[in-house]
Amino acid sequence: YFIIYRQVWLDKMKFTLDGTIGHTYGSTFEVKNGEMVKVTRIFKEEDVLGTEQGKDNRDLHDLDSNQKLSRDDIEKLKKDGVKGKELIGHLIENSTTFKAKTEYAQEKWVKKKKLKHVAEFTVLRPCARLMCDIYSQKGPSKILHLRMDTLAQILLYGNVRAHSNVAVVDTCCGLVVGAVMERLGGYGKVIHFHPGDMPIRPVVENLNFSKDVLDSLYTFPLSCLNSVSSKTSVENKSENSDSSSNTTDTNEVKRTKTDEKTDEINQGGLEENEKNSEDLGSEEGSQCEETEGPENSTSKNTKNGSEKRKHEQNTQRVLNKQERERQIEDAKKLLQEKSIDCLIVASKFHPTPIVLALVDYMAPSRQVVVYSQFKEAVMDSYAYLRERGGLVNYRVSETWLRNYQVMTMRTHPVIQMSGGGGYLLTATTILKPS
Amino acid sequence: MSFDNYHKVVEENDTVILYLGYENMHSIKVRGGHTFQTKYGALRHSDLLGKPYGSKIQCPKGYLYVLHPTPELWTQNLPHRTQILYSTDISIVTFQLDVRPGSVVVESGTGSGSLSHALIRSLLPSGHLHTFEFHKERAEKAEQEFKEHGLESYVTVNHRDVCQNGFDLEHVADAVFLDLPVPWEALPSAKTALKKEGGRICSFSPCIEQVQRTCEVLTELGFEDISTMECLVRNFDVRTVNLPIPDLGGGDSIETSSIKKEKNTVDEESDKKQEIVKSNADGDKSSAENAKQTFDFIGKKEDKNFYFKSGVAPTQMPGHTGYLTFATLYPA
Repeated sequence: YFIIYRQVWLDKMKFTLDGTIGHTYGSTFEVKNGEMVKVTRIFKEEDVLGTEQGKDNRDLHDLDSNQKLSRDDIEKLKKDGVKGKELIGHLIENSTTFKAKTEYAQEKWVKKKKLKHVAEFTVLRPCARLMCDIYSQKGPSKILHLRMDTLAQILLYGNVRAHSNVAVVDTCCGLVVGAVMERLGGYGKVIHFHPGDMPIRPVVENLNFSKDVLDSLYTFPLSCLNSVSSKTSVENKSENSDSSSNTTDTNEVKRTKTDEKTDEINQGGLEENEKNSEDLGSEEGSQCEETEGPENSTSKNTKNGSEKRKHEQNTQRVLNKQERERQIEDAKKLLQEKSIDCLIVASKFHPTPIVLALVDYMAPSRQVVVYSQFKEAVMDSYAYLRERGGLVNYRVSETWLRNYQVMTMRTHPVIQMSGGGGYLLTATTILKPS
Repeated sequence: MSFDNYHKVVEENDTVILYLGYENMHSIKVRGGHTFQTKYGALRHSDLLGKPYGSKIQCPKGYLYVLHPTPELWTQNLPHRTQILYSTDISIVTFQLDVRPGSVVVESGTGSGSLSHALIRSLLPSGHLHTFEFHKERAEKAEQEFKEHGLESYVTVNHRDVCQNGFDLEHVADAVFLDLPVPWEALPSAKTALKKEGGRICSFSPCIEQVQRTCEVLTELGFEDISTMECLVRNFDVRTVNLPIPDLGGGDSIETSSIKKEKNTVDEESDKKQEIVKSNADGDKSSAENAKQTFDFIGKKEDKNFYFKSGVAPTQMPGHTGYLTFATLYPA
């Protein structure tokens, strides 16, 4: 997987990604006839500015007729292969007002035209920072409006680092789990607590982790949590052991299918992921309870392709059931040993019952971090933890983040800023006297 | 010796954090035979040895908790030799520079080692921090501290003026961090220090003029995605707030007229008595009225107060620490 960093988010363009394979991350490509072609760096605004400039805009009128080229003319030029610097040059020539603009106004104008007409992409290696950026722009509600700085603080105050065991309750598409896994680098363990039967964490997939790192991830349905203290064990169905021989084949099939998928993270991509996850999430059923019938591929869904997808998912699920149940048992042991070094709660649920349930499994002198979009939820967790006792060094906080435009004689904060990035509760566990 | 990994019990020569209460903590190095004076009396270091981290330790006049050191607790309790970076900025720097196990990071200046400890925590066990400090004693003190904290294998301290003499590193770093008065002088060398496949850079400056010059030079050198931001933290004091319910004059006409009649009398005592008598007589009516107004959507009404739990913002909060400028160097 890789991220396509697009300058314009609006244009829908269709092209294959084959042209990028083999090049290093950080290379820039241009879309030419539906294909990606490597280019050297995009031109700078200064390159196209002429020597003529105006003093101010007192005589300038903002009219559509200022640009002689029509939309069709521009499209034709693009089809003829005119691109980049040349295209902008055409636009400048055919603008009646360009030469009268001030230098700064010209720069701003060119920048705007670049965004609109020049389709250049830089291929980047995915990382938590970029994933957070993308989701913040494209679907903040999917990550519960967790802002970059708040996520950064979660990782910091949780003391998330190699060799630690981190319990993460995440309904943010796996953004928090993914960021934690990145910081652990495969050393230590991450337990992802999730609602429903299957975890929904597209971000973790997109981060393209190595096997070492993926092996550090444990999956644990929240519905199994209460059974940890009651010591009930997971019972395996005999059917599962029969299907183990087919495991390798189907796994390979699945892998090629994912390679073929377009990895572009755009609006459509995010939506598609959500559709998939809704299919998965809707199937109720707890693995920690005894009986669970073999999942059939009978699908009531009549949409094209989704039936096939669902069948795929079902076989995948049935085959990995042993694996998943083993993971749950392993995670349960970790919990029962009270060796959790860090607890992070970042979910759509009311955090208090979750925190109260999980804090019992933490080692003493370790970090608890609770995130909510809403101050009241965090305050409630604070109040109940205080009541429970066994923690010190509480802090309820939020951060204020502002970006700046830094340009000669034009430096100022950016006009729009984030209204809020959520709230955090952090605290440190202590040894509760027996 | 407990910064690189979590340990269970306190050992000789460990740096530990003594937690006495809200915003009342101290860091000490545990040495048998020594004593540390607290507001609760003397604490013998030997009382800590062998105790699990997180234990409650009794003192003559009270108790405290011994906490495991973390870079965050260290930042709050380290001896300042310079102005330091606090956790809010540190969290963003670590995140935006993509620091993770295996990262090679270059830092200048080391200062009091606040950020250094946090960076080392994030890049271990397979990464490395090259930190540069132009003040000889500070460089030595930092080196000593890293050693005491068991971190010496993850960091190299250099006594060097990077603005004059550069980093003397070629294509080794994934990320560079600058906290210098004149950061643009170190930028060309910083660019060389970054790996050929590219990397991230950050410059922290308190003044906007410094930021402007830094961004100019970053652009000239070919850095991209240049982004300047600032982040401030706001802590909330979660407590129950009581707001008194005001007397809006009351709905009882008799009561009102009695007030008017008695207004000019000197005897306030009899005034009050009469009001009480009146209100008692009309007890049913007024209590019925009060019963309607329970004010219980966001909080609760108790007698003549409305109370609720609130996260109260402090009177003062940090308004500025510095501007953080990030940029990416893409491969040539």
